[in-house]
Amino acid sequence: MDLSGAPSNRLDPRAKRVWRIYALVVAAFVLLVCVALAVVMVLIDGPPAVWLVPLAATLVVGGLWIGLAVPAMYRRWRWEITDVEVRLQSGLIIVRRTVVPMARIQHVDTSQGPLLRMLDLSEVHVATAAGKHKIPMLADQDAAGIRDRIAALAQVTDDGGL
Amino acid sequence: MMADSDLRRTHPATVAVWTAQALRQFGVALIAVAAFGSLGGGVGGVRSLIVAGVILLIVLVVVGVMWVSWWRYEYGIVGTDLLIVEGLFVRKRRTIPIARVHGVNVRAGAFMRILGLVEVVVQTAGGGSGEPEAKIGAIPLDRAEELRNALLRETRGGAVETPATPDPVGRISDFRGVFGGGEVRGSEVRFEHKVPFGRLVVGVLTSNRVPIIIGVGLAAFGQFYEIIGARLLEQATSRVAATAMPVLVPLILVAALLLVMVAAATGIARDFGFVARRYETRIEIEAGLLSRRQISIPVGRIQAVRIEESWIRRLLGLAAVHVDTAGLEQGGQQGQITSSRAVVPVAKADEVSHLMHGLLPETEVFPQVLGVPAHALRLYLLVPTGLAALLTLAALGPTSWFVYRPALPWMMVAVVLVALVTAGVRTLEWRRAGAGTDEIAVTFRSGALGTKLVRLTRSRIQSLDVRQNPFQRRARLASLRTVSVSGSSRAKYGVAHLAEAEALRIMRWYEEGLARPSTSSDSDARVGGSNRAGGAQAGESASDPGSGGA
Repeated sequence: MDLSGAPSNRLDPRAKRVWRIYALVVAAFVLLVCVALAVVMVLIDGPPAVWLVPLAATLVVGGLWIGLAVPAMYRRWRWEITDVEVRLQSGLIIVRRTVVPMARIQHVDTSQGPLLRMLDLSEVHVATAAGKHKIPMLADQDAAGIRDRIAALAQVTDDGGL
Repeated sequence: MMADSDLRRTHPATVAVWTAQALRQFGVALIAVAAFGSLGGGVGGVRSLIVAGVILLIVLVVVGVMWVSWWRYEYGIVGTDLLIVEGLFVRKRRTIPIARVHGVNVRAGAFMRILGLVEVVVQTAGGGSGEPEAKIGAIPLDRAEELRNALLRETRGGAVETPATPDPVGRISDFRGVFGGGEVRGSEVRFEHKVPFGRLVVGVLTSNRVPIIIGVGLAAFGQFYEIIGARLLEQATSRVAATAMPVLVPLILVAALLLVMVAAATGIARDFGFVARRYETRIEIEAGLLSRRQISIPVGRIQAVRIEESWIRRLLGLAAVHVDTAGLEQGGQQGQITSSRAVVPVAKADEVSHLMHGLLPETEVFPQVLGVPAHALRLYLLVPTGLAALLTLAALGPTSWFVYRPALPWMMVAVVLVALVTAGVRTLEWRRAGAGTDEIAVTFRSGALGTKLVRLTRSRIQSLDVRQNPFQRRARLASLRTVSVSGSSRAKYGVAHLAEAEALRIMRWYEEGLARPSTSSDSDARVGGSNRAGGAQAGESASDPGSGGA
């Protein structure tokens, strides 16, 4: 896709840190399983490949994810809010560009989990009659600003009512 | 308190109707209880008495609950509102301004029809965002007519009008034909479409309901046959088996035929006497042989229009028109959410444009469709064909390699065949796929042997996205998808592997439509255009907390 038309804003740079932490948590779980497998294999004198292969795979995939995929995802993620629409671009391998009209937005809210709260980050959720769209990993004040802006714009562009 | 003297209860038979509906839902549990109880043998045993007692108790409790909810349920028209008061301890007052009523559905099951009762469902402007629409239990037909007239008259902004233009169909009436009774002076019927019985039969036989029922039936019969057949094979030496086998085969055929007839009969009973009528702001559909229904489809709620020709109907030159509507309706006895309805269940393909002109002139023009580029074919073919071949290989390969080597060549043949069929279907899909836009709408075309044309008005699309994977990027192709509302859920329509420039053009077309949100330039903005407003205000309009009192 020609990148000229991409939305203009990036996420907060700390997004990369959060995504890496998420990846590490997942990897930790998988490693735990590997350790359990290793213990079982030692006890029953089974082949070491049963735990060595998943361990190696986890390390390789985890390394690639943290080293390459997370920065690529961050570079890809763009958002933009105009007076009439919310434009989003995301995706790692498949690039996805979405247009959500202001007039279709029913409500907007921000949320943050414990990890995001520690880093003062928030997510903005934009809901239409047919589902939600998310702008993740924004600095708290940015997220609040965006939420209020969308709320105000969605009000203004109310298309007349019945 | 408001003028609650104007409120009235529904018909006492409502208790029976609701009980029957509830018991039907509990039916499986009751049968399970009965079956469990009868395991213990003896008919006169204590256990069967207990079981009978439990069942009686359940029924009595259900009747009691239904009686209380009937007794504490009142409705009526107070001033310019429809007021519904319900609840035993917590009295819930629901005020629906008549001006916000979009449509009124009337329906009756066979049991209700014997008693001359109907059920009324009131659709409001706000409906569709969570809360089911107001349902007024079993009431006598004449009450329902009064209510319907009162509710629909106001939506047209005035007293009973005498239309200035002559009625094109020759009737000035707000019809309620299937329910019998006289005609009621109401609004003008602009267009009427009846499906003749013969056409209906053909339509039902070519619908996808029949093959599904046959498939399920044959599968069930197959299970049965396997059990019986296995038993028979055990005693294969006996002459009994030898004579029983030839009997079983015709039996299967008879069963299949029977299933076709049952499927056809239920389909025909469902759509018997199908009539679609267009009024100024809504389409009304009446149909049904035993249980009858009269359904309003407010035009403003239509999100998408689909013209579909399945391959078998294509051969016969037939087509159907469906509409997706926003709104949540607790349908019939099953309580399912209906969102997509046929406004023309079956018609000759060359009549469709005429019928669309009559029923839905707002959406009769489908934008010209541009196909996907020639070089998109390889994207249509490559991954699905490879995947199908691989899956077949994975499914059959190990067995033929480890268990029965001689089957190996046949396995390869099967893989090739699957790959060829997939490739053929995908080639047809590639030829059919396309998209097009005009000033107000987008059309997507899809299908392989059949065809599906979907038309979405720009102002009804909730969001639109363009996506591109690395293969598509190299080939300068992209997939386009729109998200709209269907019932209470989302409906996605789109086209895969469109030329990148065309996908981005349609995206820009969509964005341009947003640049002037307040001007009502879209031709159907009069009836449409306010989906969001309606949805957002659902909470305030449907249940007015301010009027709560008792």
